[in-house]
Amino acid sequence: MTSIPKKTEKKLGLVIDLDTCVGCHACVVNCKEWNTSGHMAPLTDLNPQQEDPDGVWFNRVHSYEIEQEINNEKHSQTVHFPKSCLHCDNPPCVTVCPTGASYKREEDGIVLVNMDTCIGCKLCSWACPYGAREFDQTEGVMKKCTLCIDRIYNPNLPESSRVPACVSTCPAGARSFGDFSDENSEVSKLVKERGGYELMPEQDCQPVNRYLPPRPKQHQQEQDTMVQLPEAESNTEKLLTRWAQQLSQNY
Amino acid sequence: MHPAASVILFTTSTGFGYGLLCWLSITLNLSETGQLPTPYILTLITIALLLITFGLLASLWHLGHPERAWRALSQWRTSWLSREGVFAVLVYPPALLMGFASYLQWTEFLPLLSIMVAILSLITIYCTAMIYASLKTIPAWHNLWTISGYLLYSFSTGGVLCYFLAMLLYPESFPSGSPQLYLLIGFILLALSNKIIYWKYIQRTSNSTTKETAIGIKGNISPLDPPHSSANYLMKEMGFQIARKQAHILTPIAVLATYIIPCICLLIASFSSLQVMIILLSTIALVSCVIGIIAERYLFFAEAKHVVTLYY
Repeated sequence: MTSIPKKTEKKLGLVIDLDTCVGCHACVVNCKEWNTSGHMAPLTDLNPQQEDPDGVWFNRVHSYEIEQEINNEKHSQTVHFPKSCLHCDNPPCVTVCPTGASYKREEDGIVLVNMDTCIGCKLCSWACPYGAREFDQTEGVMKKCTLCIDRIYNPNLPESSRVPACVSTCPAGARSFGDFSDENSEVSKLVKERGGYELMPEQDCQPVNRYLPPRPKQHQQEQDTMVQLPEAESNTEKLLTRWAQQLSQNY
Repeated sequence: MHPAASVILFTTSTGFGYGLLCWLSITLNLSETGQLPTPYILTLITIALLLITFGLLASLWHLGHPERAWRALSQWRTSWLSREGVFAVLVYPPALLMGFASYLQWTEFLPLLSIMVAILSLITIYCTAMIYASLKTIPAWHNLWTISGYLLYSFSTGGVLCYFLAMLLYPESFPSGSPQLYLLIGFILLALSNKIIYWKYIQRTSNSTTKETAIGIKGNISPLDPPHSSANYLMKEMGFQIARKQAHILTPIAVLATYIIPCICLLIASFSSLQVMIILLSTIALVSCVIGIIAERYLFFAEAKHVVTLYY
């Protein structure tokens, strides 16, 4: 049924820290690695070895240069921006689905696609503002992030590994997984402490995933602690004198 | 948005079909005797249903799994696409019944049946329009002008087709100076003004979703490193960008061919008494309308920008 549950028991999702993400794409690769044989397998690739490779990925990392003006000074910073399904509380991709293949789970809020009933009309991908869904041309169905549903509940995995593949692999620790409905969960605390925000709030999708902003750069402090070097001398006469002085000191 | 041939064929063909059913109802109810000849009614219903069926089949063609299409009728509570499917199916029984009634000379049922068919056709077009108008992610579609546009273009193109068939088969249903003829011209002009307002609207409105809200950081944001080395599904489907030159050529074609040329042809034909001349003019009007509406539908998709492109 494509009606959205009024309330989900849990709100599972991710917190992505833009301050620590180094844009290494490890989460992208591990996501592909796990999911191509996981719940929504396969994540088909087209022309993988040719000039124009294309394929289904659930997670992509964009990198941006962001220029800001602080105290009349221009500062620019690089922000690496991983993007995957945000498992919205009000997911438009679910309500537009004509077959009921797209659904939001009542127990944990994960948004999934039933690949046996999806007709591949692509309307859900039009309705999603985040570009979280990618169409599998070969299979003729829509695919998306499952929040690694086959890892987080997998009794065959050691408990520490029961997190999404992207979270488990992140070398910078920029990704956290947890239940947002629990105020005392690690993710809820992170959001509170660091001012976690949602993407495109005006689209009213009420995404569950949150992003932590990059911490402000500490320009002023850096300048204070820097060693002040003497100004370079341009006067040839002075330079020669100093060179002579140095020579005489050494010998 | 990527202007897929299947979707353009679908909206064009069903637009003509549902519009024709509406005009069959109008001409039937406005005709002096309240009747139309049976072969004429049967021909119009057959052509309309063929156009609608062809359009629906074309829309199935773009599905990943056309054999599962029947499932699309199930989610009418939430999905406009599902509602459209349901009403598209619901148009068939009364339309076929109307054909039978006409064949069996149950003429007293015809006006009522034709009104039912017309109302169901209008609801179907409305549902089609809502598929697009309900998408917040595409500001060029998420407005009232999209809805009125769909209804009006279907009404005017179906009317031009109805006029052509009438001139060919039963000119008495569209006599010169008749209210139905002026109604048709009025609808074409309304559709034209709606399109102009639509274009002005999409040029003027600023989107509340920006790069800043998409990424959540204030500042001047420019892409540094792309997330993938070549175009992916999102860029191919949502990131389609029409060349400025192409838009400059297609826009006047859409305006002239869909609305202005048919309108002029109809006006001249209404003052003409030569049968050959009238048929020629109505043919020009129809051919021009078909070419124009394909260009117009192409632009509707090609000019629409999806907010996901803000990430690229």
